[in-house]
Amino acid sequence: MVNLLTSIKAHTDKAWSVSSHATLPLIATASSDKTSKIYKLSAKHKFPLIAKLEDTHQRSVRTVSFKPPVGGVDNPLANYLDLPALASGSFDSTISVWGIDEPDQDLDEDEILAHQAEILTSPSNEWNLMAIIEGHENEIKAVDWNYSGNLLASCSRDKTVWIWETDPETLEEFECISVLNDHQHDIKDVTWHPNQNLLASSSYDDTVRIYKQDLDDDDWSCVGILNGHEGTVWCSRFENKHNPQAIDSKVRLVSVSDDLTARIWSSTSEITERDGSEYIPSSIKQTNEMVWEQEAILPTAHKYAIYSVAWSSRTGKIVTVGSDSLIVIYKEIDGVWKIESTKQAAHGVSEINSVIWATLDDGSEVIVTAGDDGYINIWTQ
Amino acid sequence: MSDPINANPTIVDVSSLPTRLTQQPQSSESKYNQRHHELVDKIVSLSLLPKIRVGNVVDEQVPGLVSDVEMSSTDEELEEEEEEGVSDDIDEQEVFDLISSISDPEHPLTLAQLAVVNLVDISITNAPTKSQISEILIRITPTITHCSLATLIGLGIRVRLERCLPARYRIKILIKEGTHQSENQVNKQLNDKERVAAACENDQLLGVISQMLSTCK
Repeated sequence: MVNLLTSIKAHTDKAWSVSSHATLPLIATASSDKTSKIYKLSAKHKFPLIAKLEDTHQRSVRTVSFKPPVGGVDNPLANYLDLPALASGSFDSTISVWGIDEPDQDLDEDEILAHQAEILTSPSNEWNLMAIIEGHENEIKAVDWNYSGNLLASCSRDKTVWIWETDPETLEEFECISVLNDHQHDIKDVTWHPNQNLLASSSYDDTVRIYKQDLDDDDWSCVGILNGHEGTVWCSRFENKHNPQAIDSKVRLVSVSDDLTARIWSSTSEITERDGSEYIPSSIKQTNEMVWEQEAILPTAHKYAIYSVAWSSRTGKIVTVGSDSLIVIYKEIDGVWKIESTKQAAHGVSEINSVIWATLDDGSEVIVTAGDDGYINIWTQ
Repeated sequence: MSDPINANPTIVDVSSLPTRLTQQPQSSESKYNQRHHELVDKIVSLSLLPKIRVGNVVDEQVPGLVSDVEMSSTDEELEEEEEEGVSDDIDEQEVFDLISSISDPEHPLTLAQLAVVNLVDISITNAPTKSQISEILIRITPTITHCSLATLIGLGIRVRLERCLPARYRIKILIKEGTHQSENQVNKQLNDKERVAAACENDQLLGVISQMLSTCK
């Protein structure tokens, strides 16, 4: 059963995207009303508005993404107060980066650490514009941070994916380190693997492409193409290695499309992470290419385009949403994907543009959806 | 744009078009028709027609897609109708009447006069209740198979319907089979909600579309 926990009228126009923070109970939204909003995921406090980010983008804000903690969720810096920050991308072809100043608290360090989440999610923090990133020729469709917060990927109707490097502690400068021109059309979505520097982009050209950094230089290259969808691929997400069903030797990705299908793809190609210890000299250069296979097509449920998908790192369940206002939850049982539950008319007769799994301040997992009706709906299972 | 893409299109007489819109009184109608015939004759006799300069509508003060007054009245009408339960479902004729008077981007004629939109090419699947999603499928016939304005015409139709119809309608606009050389390409673009949303924030395109919709009744 999928039950509505709360419904927030966040925007006066389409809500395009929703993102959750990796460790703090925060979500951010993006809307055609040119604003983004940040809410605290606290049922006890009735999901208060934390900040409204406005007067920056000239056109629709299409996408939003919270920066993960410096070093990643698995290896956060010890005793480091990681300030929340997010990036948003707009049809005005720019990306804006927002963050808060270090809270001015009269507490000793231990106390700050003990109440960190409380302090960092307080509406008294002022959210400031920290950077505006320009480079894309036209509408930005998606932005996403890598797991350790030092790389930001963006994609656009200009058919390119850009990778920006930054210092995740200061977020002062964003240097473009790669422009990937592999797609033939508009790119709808870009997403990082939650545990490694592997990137995927979904496109109007009906394919998903996978990118990695070259073994012998600093460039990035397309290392895999996922062919199979018969319509625009709107969104894709990698499986987290912490999923109960995840296998160490296998990378999996789910993609959703205009062709009304959700597909699981997998690759068992050896992942050569290029950090210092595993560095391979160019003299024994090995191929970086990944072989991908279509592992499954999820049981059909949607009647119109599927716009968004999310893969829970906690339960391994997949949730899809789309134009038909339907939420579908899938569960993998002994290697077979089954529909666990569905919710009809989740945003009335409006289209649903975005879905995520998120965690409330009480630790429970919820589904959050964003619709054309401007609502952000929060669901329990 | 120096020459129109199709300089000599076939034109359907306005009086022979199907409509449910209130007709004018008989006497003035015949006069109106006569005047209209003369006008059409005059237009057809000209080899080059005055037209909207698609590429030059830059930085002009762009009016709304449909004037505010018209839009709000349409919305109110729909709401009233729904409240009173007078008209439960929207039918093909109603959709035709909404889009038939849209102007062609290059001729001073409507899409119905050019037979780009036809009543028989509109089909509606109404759901049993208003809380469910209904579907409208419109097939448009470009005047010539390489008409580069087919996308713009489709966009105009979509904008008109999205502004006038309740949110429960999913609108699908397709090029009629075999009438355009890049049918699939145009179809894909016209039915991509994100591309349409972004196009509607482009001042230049919006200017052209608002001109196309300025003749709507």
